[in-house]
Amino acid sequence: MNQQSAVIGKRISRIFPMGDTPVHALREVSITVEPGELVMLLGPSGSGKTTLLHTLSGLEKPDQGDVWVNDVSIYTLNDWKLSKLRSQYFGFVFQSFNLLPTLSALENVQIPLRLLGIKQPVKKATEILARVGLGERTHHKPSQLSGGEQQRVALARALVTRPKIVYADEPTGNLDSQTSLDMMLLLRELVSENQSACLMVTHNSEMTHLAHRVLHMRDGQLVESASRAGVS
Amino acid sequence: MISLLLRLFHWNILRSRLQLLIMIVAVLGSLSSYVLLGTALSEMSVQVMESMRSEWPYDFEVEAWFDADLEQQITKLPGLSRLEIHTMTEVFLYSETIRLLALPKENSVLLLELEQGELPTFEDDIVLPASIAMRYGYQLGESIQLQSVKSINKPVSFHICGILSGKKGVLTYPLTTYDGLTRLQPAEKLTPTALIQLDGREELLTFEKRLQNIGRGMAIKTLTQEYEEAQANLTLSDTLVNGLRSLILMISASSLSILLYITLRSGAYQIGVLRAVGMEKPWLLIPAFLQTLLVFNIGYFSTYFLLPPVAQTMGLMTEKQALLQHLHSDFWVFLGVGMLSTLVVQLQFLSSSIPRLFREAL
Ligand SMILES: Nc1ncnc2c1ncn2[C@@H]1O[C@H](COP(=O)(O)OP(=O)(O)O)[C@@H](O)[C@H]1O
Ligand SMILES: [Mg+2]
Repeated sequence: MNQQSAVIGKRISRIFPMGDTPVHALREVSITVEPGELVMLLGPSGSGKTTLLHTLSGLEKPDQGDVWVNDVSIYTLNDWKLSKLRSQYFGFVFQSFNLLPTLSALENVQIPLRLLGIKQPVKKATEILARVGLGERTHHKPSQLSGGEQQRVALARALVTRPKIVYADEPTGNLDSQTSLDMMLLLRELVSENQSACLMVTHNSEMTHLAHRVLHMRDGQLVESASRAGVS
Repeated sequence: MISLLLRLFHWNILRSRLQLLIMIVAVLGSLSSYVLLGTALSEMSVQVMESMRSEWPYDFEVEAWFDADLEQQITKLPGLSRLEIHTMTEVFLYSETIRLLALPKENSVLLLELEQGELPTFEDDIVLPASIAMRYGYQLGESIQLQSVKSINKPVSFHICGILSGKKGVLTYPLTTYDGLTRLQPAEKLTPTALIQLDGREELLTFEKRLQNIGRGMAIKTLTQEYEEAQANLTLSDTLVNGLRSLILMISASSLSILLYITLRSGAYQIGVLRAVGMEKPWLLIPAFLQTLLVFNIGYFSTYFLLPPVAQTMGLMTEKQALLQHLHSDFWVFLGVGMLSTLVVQLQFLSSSIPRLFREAL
């Protein structure tokens, strides 16, 4: 086992029983994400990207294969420990509805800090909100923020614990192209500042030049295409 | 953490104001009918007991020299519904032995409906039951000779001042005054008799043991005939009403569960996000429990104010105080059921995988 890797997935299969014709969402997928690496996952809708992300991030157990983080096969852990592991090592950005509507931006960002019992949550949350450019808007509720701003809050929340890896499932799916690009650049910067890895699902192939590596998915299988960091 | 949970709770409430309102109304409605039915049950059982009872509606006769202390000890026994203290003796009338009663003090269930004349006032007055007057052909105003069974004195003459009605349920023993009794038997030999009526739920044998445990030289006699029948009828009505009550409980529990499910479902996505970022399941139970507590407490207070007028309009005789007491004790049953359904619905939610929470919400 490579101890350096952010996450390792080994021969992961996921089958959804759908009557007579079960859906093979993942077929023996193996994947390793190295620390600090920004990996983009592309593929047509229904190819299994979300399922892979959920499996690697400890949200859903695969039918076969296992996922390793820090030399631990994460699905051997009980729910309590797995929750702990997610809050410690993973950050999440979803397509939308990332934030709790009754909590301010600042409070939303504090959630993972409070779950981990980290000291000075307010200070840390304020700092990272300033870093994503929302220093002036920390007390706004999600409804008072634009879609791009909400996703920046979500990004701040995902990174505030300095996770080993950030999982993002089409984080720019609901944003216009300029906001998407800003968001992607910010994400790339923050991830590298934190030395976190990032595995991102996107259907936007225009962004692939920002990635260190691009993976293509088709019918539940990975098709790797070599690619290196392009524009800075 | 606490403040985060309170915010979650706050969010639950904001998100589902309409459902909460419906839930409160559901609690109000079912709690009211539950309490009303329970109260009606108590009223009904009293009536069942009374309608099942003969002219001598007692289950125990206990002879003893009662004092306030002993009387209180007996009154406190569980299962007792009535305690009366009477004075009586046995007399010969021709070849028959009959029981002669002193005019009861107030608050007796004995029915003393007169056909003719009036109740005894003087020591030689006597009122005859219709059956005896008929059997021996006694008329109002005549005199009658009675001899005590326990003493060898000469027969004593009484003046018939009244005749009881022959209707069902009216006393079938002759009746005189206390002084009248002392003419047959000296006061120091007139041991008082406590007449005890049970509530129809307690077993006779159990109650008898309790009486015996008190001791104090009591002579206890158990009258079995009618109690068992009354008990059977009461059990029937109990079963019926308890069945209805459980039905109400089940219906309200399931409707609450459905409402609760809808409420929680509308927030499933965010619950999924919270779980994804590492919030452990047990924490997520707390806001839901707080919500149920809130709903039930508001439901309780609305019932508290609305129930008495409703009961009055319905013609329930139970007093407001007693009704509210019923409400109070029934509320805990209700709250327990509410919490249980919350738990069940929540567990159902928490046991589903996080990706499923994401999907279900949309
Ligand atoms: N819970 C599920 N039940 C049944 N089929 C599912 C479920 N989740 C995903 N699938 C199926 O698995 C395949 C992969 O889904 P997904 O990972 O969401 O694809 P993508 O994110 O690439 O669009 C699809 O065919 C989808 O219909
Ligand atoms: Mg997807």
